[in-house]
Amino acid sequence: MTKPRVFTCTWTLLPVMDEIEAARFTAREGFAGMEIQCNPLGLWPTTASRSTIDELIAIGDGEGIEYTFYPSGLLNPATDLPEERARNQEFLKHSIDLAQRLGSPVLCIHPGVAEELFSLERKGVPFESDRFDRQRLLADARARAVEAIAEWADAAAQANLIIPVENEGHVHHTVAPTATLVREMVEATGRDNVKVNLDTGHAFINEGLKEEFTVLRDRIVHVHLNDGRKMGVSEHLSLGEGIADFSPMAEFMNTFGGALVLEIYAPERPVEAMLESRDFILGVAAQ
Amino acid sequence: MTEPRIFTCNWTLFPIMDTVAAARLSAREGFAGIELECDPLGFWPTTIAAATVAELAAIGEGEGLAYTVHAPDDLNPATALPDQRTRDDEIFKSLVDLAQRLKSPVVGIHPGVVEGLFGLERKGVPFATERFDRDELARDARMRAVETYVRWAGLTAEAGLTLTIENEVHVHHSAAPTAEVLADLVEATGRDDIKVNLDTGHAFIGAGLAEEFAVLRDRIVHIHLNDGRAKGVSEHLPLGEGVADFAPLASFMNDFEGALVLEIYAPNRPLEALLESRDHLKGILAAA
Repeated sequence: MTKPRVFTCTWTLLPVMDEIEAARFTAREGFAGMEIQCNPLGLWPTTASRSTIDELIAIGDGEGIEYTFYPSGLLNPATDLPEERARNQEFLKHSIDLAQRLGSPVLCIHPGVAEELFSLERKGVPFESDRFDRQRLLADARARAVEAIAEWADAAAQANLIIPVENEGHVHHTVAPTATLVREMVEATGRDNVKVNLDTGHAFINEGLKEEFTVLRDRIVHVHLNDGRKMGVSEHLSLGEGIADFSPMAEFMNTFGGALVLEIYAPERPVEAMLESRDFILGVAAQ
Repeated sequence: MTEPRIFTCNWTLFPIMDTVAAARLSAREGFAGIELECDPLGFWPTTIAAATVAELAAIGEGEGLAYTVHAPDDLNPATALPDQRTRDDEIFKSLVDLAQRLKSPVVGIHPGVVEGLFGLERKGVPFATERFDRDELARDARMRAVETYVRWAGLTAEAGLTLTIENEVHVHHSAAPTAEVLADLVEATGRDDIKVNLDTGHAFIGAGLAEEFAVLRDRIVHIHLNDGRAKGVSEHLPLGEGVADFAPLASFMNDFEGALVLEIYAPNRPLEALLESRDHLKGILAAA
């Protein structure tokens, strides 16, 4: 049994500190590491300054904290648009470089969305049209996503990185609305370095935490921990503030070698919420 | 007084026909032209087939139909991200090329959004933070938007086209949250060839149609016509279905040489709604 490796997350701490301060906080409070989630107001793959990266590396080396890297939800492996693909490639290249320099073992991504379906609705309400087959558009987008993720995985493999794909069944027009589809997509890439990032809140509000965990379990190498209280509504609550039952994952977390990232949203009190959530999850694991 | 030049719009007709069929319908129904708005499932600058462009050009020449083009909604002239700028520039350049080939006199864009502000909220609800000054983020974004307008206007000018910027004060974190700010941004470019596309529905749900029209009037070279009924809610209703009062624009439109584009949303009966909106508009113009 290893001690659960609990990580902080820059997204949670953004309201009160930048990445450097967040890394120092992470070390000072005894977390195993920190997930760097890219944000235009903070660290961004195509604009990150060398000095910031050097300082993060120094903190990591000096304080013994690790980093994991999440580029951006903007990356859409399912896109059919050439300029989006070009942007993704550029973004990915910078992200792989940063992840490698920061010693992150993973480069987390989302499964993508079927962008065409947004054209067949207004303000989220679809309209009737005989011109297009929505299921076909979705299936085509999913096939493109598998192809793109396989290509990205090959690029990531050159840097010894693993690509965990996140479950986000609640996202409008996601190409993977169920955990089973996430799994099928991961398998369809045929790449050993394509794995799963289980988001507990996303699972809870979609098919259920236990249910999605069971489907994805043997592919999970990374976990985003957050709570939920209502089906279909992603709130990224602090652990214990919602009603998700984490106990089915307790044994798994105790032997898990990957990062357990506290990806919670508590902008009024992020530090306190982070510490309380750690206590909560360590309590669950101890049981 | 010139005959008002009423245009259809491929966005309105999208649920029932493609862009080529929409152009043919526009000619058949006696419209002066059609606005081509970009959509990944239809008319998209970087993927449109050469054969489609050739067919559109042939319809335009053969039927005497004019075209105008409008950029995708998600081009963001206010962006600070180099990867977004590269992507937007590529789309814009392709669109200018298309506009030139289809003899569109204008290329329409939106003013842009302050992307940094989206990082300071979740699901539209901002959170408190002392780390960032929201007003400063908005000011910086506006400065970047002006720089981009100038850069893009250079491209349109080379092609003999005019860049138009649309009022859309209701858009979340718009770089131009009022008609006055939009006028200031256009003014700040220092270029005479950057003009305004007045969207009547956006104006109605913003500060008011008569009010925004009065602020922007001198710069308007293009108009998107649609109705509204509730402040802050953009519905793009057919003309007459909402409560906007178009009378203050009537004499202006009667003398207007630009395109009066019926940019309405009626997916269940787009053709009927276009024809009825045209009749409604003609009634307003005749009454002036």
